[in-house]
Amino acid sequence: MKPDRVIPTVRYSSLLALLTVLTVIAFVCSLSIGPAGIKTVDMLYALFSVEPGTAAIIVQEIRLPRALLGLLIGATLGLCGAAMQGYVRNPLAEPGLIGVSASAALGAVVTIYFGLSAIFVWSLPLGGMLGAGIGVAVMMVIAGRKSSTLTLILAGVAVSTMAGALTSLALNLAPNPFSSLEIVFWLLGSLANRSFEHFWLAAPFMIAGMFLVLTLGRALDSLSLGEDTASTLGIDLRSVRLKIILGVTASVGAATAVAGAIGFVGLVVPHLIRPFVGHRPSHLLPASALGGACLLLFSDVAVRILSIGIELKLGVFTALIGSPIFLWLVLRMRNQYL
Amino acid sequence: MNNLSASEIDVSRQGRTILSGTSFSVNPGELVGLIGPNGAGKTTLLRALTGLQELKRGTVSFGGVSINESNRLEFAKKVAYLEQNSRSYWPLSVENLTMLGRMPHLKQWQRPSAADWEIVHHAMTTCDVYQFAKRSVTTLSGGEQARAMLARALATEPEILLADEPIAGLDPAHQLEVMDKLQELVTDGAGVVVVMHDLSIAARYCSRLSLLFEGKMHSEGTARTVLSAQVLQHCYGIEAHFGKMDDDFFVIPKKKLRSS
Repeated sequence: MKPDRVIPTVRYSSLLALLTVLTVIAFVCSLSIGPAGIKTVDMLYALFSVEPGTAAIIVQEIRLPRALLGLLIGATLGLCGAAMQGYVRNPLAEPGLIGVSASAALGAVVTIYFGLSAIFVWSLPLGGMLGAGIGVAVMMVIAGRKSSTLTLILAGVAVSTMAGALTSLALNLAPNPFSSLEIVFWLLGSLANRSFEHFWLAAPFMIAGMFLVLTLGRALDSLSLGEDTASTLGIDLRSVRLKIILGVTASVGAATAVAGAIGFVGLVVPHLIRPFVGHRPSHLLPASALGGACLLLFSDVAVRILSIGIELKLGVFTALIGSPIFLWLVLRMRNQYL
Repeated sequence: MNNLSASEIDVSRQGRTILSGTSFSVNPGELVGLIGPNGAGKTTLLRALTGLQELKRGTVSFGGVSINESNRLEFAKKVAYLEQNSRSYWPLSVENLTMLGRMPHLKQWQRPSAADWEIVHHAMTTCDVYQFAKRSVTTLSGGEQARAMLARALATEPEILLADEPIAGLDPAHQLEVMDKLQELVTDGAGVVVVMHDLSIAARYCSRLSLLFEGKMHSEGTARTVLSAQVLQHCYGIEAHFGKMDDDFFVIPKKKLRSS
């Protein structure tokens, strides 16, 4: 007899409640911890203060937008990672699979390279979002209208490679070392020095994109049985494909445009949570969004604590903690997907 | 109850003709065995009947309405398709897998009701996988997985079930059990099309056999008329023993006649 592998029986509502609580704690930590050393109580006071004191300015103008961006970007990455993995039915998929991250990064780098970002601050995130849009449009042209998921992945890889090559070209031809250093630092990914303007610019795209992706739960569940069976269960595969591409492009494109490329969150978080939702793609979506928000907020707090002198970049930190977790997961689960 | 039919359909893939001028139909209350040698076009015909296959010519209609004009979701509620070697990409539990069959009946965001769960439990019991309800489907053996997949298709409670080799890889007891279940479904008024290779089981259970050969409907009718020595020789390239025992007609392949 084979061992009876029992699926973890965590109640879904309890899991969501737990992740919500953790996210709220992470959010409060993000508001409370920083070089200015404001106590949590004072921070809460400063958050709602209308008087322009130092603490109020630090909390309202610096930490709040940073925490809000961490929340939304983490949620975006967690959600889109889960959605892409469900869509291509492959646990190695990540949010940037369709080429959106690489092309958003290229768009932003172009604005640094040509010095636009120094003249006009918003050109960088706008360039990033434009880059994401153009990159994904090119990907869709390459993939064709009646493409399978495989051609979609290949087209995404092609676009990512092209965008990566052009980003390298910009680094190669950078007029001076400062410019190349700026590009490299931006590419590493960070939430430092982001203001409310960044938030207002990116939030609508991230929220709209996430909403679109969240509607795909049932379709992703049916896709567990393959495209043909999903189609006979009444799922319109073309509409699903269009929605996932639009949703991921808007949300991940905006996230990358304001924060740079933050890796591993979208890859690792869905993996960590999947066993607790019985591997159901629809249940994974909201749970993974909360998990991503939680992980990114805590990482951003850790980065602030660990940065002494030189700023430790958020993207570097998530990769440092993400890759060992991923390795451990691969070792633990390598027999499961045979 | 409606009939599902393909009339004069042509299908070609990458320049190769797979079906040409093929007509086929299944009525409620009928268990049709779709037989024929490998590569005859059986799977393509089933796919065409579900609307998955693009047609070069001809139409597929359900209840007299072309399926291209019918509502996708309404069609999904009434016609279920069980893929050959169907599998789950994620290690879902058997009960959650079976619940996917209720998908066409549930609206966006709508949670399965007690009635849905009852249907799912019934489907699992019927296919003898209820004891695996909480187990992950990827830990089951091939035959057990095949039964879980059939439970998923039954959970849709379709008017027409198109099953592509549902008993391949099952042990004799479960082969008979699945065929009994399909027959029960037919008694309840559904129409079932089964693709299969076991001619004796086909002869015993199916009210009608349809033999596809080289993309054309070669012959249709009762087992005795379709499974003649001449037909087996021409289409399958075999010589066979025919027999009858306790009113059951059986065919045992004896010798291969030509290389194909």
